[in-house]
Amino acid sequence: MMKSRILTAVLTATVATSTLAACGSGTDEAGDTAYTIGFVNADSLDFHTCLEAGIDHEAQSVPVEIVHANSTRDPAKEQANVEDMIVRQVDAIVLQTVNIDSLEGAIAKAVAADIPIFLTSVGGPDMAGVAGAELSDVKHTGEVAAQWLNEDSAGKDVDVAIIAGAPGAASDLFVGGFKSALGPEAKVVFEQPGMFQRAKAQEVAENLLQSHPDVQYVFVPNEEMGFGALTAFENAGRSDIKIITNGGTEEGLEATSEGRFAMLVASSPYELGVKAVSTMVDLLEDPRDEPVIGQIPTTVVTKDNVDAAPAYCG
Amino acid sequence: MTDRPPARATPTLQMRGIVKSYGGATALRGVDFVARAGRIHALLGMNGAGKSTLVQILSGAVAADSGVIEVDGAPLTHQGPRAARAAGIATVYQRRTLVPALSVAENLMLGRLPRRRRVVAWRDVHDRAASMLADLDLDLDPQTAVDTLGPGSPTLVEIARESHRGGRILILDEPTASLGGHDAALIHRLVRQLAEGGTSVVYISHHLDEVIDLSDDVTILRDGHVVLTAETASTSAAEIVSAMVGTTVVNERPPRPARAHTPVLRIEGLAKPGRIADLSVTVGAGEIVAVIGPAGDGHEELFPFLSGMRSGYDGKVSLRDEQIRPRRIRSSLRSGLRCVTGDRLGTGLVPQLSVDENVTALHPRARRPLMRWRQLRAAAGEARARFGVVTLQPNPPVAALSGGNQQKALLAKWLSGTAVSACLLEDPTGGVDVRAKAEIHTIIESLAESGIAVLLTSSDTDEVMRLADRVVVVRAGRAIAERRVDDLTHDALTHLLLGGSQ
Amino acid sequence: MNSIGLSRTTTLRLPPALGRHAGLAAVLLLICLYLSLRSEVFATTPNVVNVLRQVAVMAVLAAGLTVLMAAGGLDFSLGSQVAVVVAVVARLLESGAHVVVASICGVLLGAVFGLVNGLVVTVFNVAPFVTTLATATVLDGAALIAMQGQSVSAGGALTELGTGEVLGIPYLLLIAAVVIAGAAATLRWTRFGRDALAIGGNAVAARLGGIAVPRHTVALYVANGMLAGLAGIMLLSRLGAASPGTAGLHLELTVVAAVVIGGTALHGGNATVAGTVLGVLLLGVVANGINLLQIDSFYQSVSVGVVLLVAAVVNQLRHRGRH
Repeated sequence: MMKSRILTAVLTATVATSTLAACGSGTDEAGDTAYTIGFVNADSLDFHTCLEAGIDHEAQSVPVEIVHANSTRDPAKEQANVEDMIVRQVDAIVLQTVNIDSLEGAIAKAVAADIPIFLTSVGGPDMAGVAGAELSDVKHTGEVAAQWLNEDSAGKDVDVAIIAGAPGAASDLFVGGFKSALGPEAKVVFEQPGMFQRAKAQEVAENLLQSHPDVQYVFVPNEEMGFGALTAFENAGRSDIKIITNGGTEEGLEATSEGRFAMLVASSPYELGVKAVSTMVDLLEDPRDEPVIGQIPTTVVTKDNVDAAPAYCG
Repeated sequence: MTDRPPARATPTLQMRGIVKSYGGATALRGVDFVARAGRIHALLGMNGAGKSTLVQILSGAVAADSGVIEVDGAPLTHQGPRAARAAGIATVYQRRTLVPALSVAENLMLGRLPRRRRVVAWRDVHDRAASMLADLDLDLDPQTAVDTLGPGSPTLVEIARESHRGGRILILDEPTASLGGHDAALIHRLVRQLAEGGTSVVYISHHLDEVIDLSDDVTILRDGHVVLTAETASTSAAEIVSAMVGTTVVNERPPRPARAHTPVLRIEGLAKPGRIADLSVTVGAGEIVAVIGPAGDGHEELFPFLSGMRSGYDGKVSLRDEQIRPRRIRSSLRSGLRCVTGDRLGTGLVPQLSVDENVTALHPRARRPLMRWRQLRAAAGEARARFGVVTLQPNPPVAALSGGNQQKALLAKWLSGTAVSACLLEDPTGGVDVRAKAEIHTIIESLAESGIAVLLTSSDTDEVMRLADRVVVVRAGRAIAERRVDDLTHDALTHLLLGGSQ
Repeated sequence: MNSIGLSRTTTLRLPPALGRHAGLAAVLLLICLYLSLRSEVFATTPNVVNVLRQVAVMAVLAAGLTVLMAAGGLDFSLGSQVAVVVAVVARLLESGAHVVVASICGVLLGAVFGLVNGLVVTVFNVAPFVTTLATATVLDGAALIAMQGQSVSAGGALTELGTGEVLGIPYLLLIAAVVIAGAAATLRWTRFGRDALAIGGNAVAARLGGIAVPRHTVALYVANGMLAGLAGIMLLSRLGAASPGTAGLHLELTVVAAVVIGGTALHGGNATVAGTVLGVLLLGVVANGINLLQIDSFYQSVSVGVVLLVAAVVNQLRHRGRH
């Protein structure tokens, strides 16, 4: 009995320390810097780690000090993180929000504390009070994807499937933009949610192959799910279905160069991070009354022009 | 008993020609029953005689197929528990319906807590509860949680509650079934007091002594018929038993030759602070030794100690001079010691599993890595036959059996293996009917005859007089006497047990 | 009743087992009927194989959980164990480990998780619900740490397992079938399984009867951890890569739902692998049917919930009918 007790203690301690060690690596102190900027990230996926890398890189070259926080997909935690930043009296906050609906509260808090706030990739309907933002135009991405499809299909009648994300603003905008720009020859025969998860998207793609095996194009609004669909098609020996997706990671670009993704709308979270810090520092030096809102540049990538894509993680 | 209203007093409750059948089986075949104000009317019968059905009909839980129920001369027109309650019929079932975590006061006023401005008025709750308890001479603290009360007190609380809610006809279904002398006496006193206040009491019981001592009238059911209804004073225990059983059950102590027993099981210096002090017992091969005490007393520590169920005891155990550590359950089972609980479904059997699996749970032939159901069934068949487990279906879950059969299955589970050399039996006939009790007694005797050392804990003097060779009497946590049963009378044992002048 | 009594064993054992699941089987059958009327594809062999391959991972976890729940245990961390195993095995494969070595590591890792759960539950006597919910949270994080928030490709080493077939039957389905048969046989034919039922039915009686309850319980958690390891390898073979958000708590909820819908009691003492299989199939068929019928995304979880509720109610009605 005693032996097992010790064993448990050791195991528990191991798990605990490894978790703590991983958590502790977040903050790093910089020396003499002009400003301290609080960065509230939303999650730890590829996109978020690369965004953070861009922010940290630009912060070192300015230099400014960055205080990190991560909301781990929890809107409530995001609010608390923003409050923490206010209490720590940072000079500005850069916010990658978890969810468009939690934005309003965060912005209001920052405005009330008179701390400028800068939004990355996702903005709210009302941007008043925001110092600046660098947004991804999701609807536009959908439209770009549809336009490429129209060109590629060259006026032939084609069947198109959509494996959407989780129902909600982002996915609906992607899909809405895509559908609205689709030519009359393209018919959407299948539209089901892949919940932004690779495994779920794969399952949906497998079921798509059962119900509509003749489909020619599949639009998947993020690369993660795109890979899920790709695995499903490759497992079924179907290399003829053209996958149109959105992302820009190394793996995604590689898959595009091999022709496994027919088309990829590429953008770089790293560059987004760089732009966010540099714009925010400019705004701290030279405040404006109106928010400065930019759009994240995108590149249409096919296997012929993979080199044109921006580096995803710097 | 002298103050009671005469036997001819006006009936408060009258049932005539009650018939009830379930599918093909007829439970009641035209039963007449009368309860009179201020009198205690005992209702007796073996399991399956129709008592429970009659109680259910009275309480409104089931409807009779035909027959009339009159309260105060007016027929009950509506069916159901609410109508019964509205007519003043209150039932206290064997299973308590109190909320264990709530206080005595809250339980007394469950659903009707006095409030002021929509907020519970706690002072009123406690004051009223205190006065209710005082009216009934009950020495209970209204603020105690029910689950911390002693064994008999929840029953007292429940009876008090039903009486307070306006139960003029009070049905008590075996209120003393699992209680010892002291707690039972408290309940008897309360019942007498309520009767003196004019309540009609219908009292269901298995204890003959209790019935004879307590009741004014007695009605006996057998196979759905009333076979006897009389003033208790005009009948006798022997008459009641023969009416219940149909044939006279012999449950007298058979002559047993005095033998020199080689000691097998030895317990020395069992102690647990506040519960039991320095108890030592030795049981010889083929001997039956009883440790008796009032319910709730220190003798009840023998099972948790010896079985290894609980820790925190001082004391040594040896079996054939080999020391045993009770907490090492497997090795103590291997050495041939078996402890049979008095709480058969709580700590003895696995209720959902079948009878066959339960009775073979310790059987060497069934304890192999792979199950061999045919062998298990064969082993179970032997065990069932030896212990007289009777089932209607071939192999039902053990929880579906009657109390008596469950008890036999329990004994079969723990004692049917070959390697048993000593056993502890905790209250082996708790909550079983007269016939099953007699059968279990025979089983226990045959165990002893086969050379097993039998240690028995009980609160039942009849059982001890019937079974034991020797008896150790425990009172207030101490062993106060040890006697050979042949040197003892029933009265003398009761006297040792309860003390005082009885 | 007498006539039944004569023809004891075989005739009596099967019908109750079937009758016990008649409600759930009827719901499943009705849904299948409906789907084959509404969709031409549903009842085709390729789609049936597709569904079975999709539920294989869930089935492996659910089969193990059924035995654990028989003993009154519960493991809310299985899905998260799968997530970590998927991540770690993908990492190992990426760094060039042999597929057999990586797989063994995955199963052993699961065993370690199970051991931790089992020891916390037995030694410290913490409720399984709390213990495994806590470890699930830890492991969800550990999975992210293991893949550093990035997708990790498993290369082609496991593709054959994930997509290969023998006689038209996918390997994954075969593995699931073996695990299910194993779990059913364990519960029915082994002392270990019967003791699990005894522990779940009455832990005190089981202990007093000489069953080493703590050891037995730990063994059950370890076995479940190893099955989570196996399930992780199966899942990775299907997905080809580990990515954040794979498996985890939402897989776990589906598994628990399948087991409970199947009729296994949450408090132990009563378990049925056959019911679990029906529960797994029900959830798999519903997920497939939703895609085939292209039910609007807003109504998908409503549909799943309604089906679960109906299945649970029908199951309960059967029980009430018997008493």
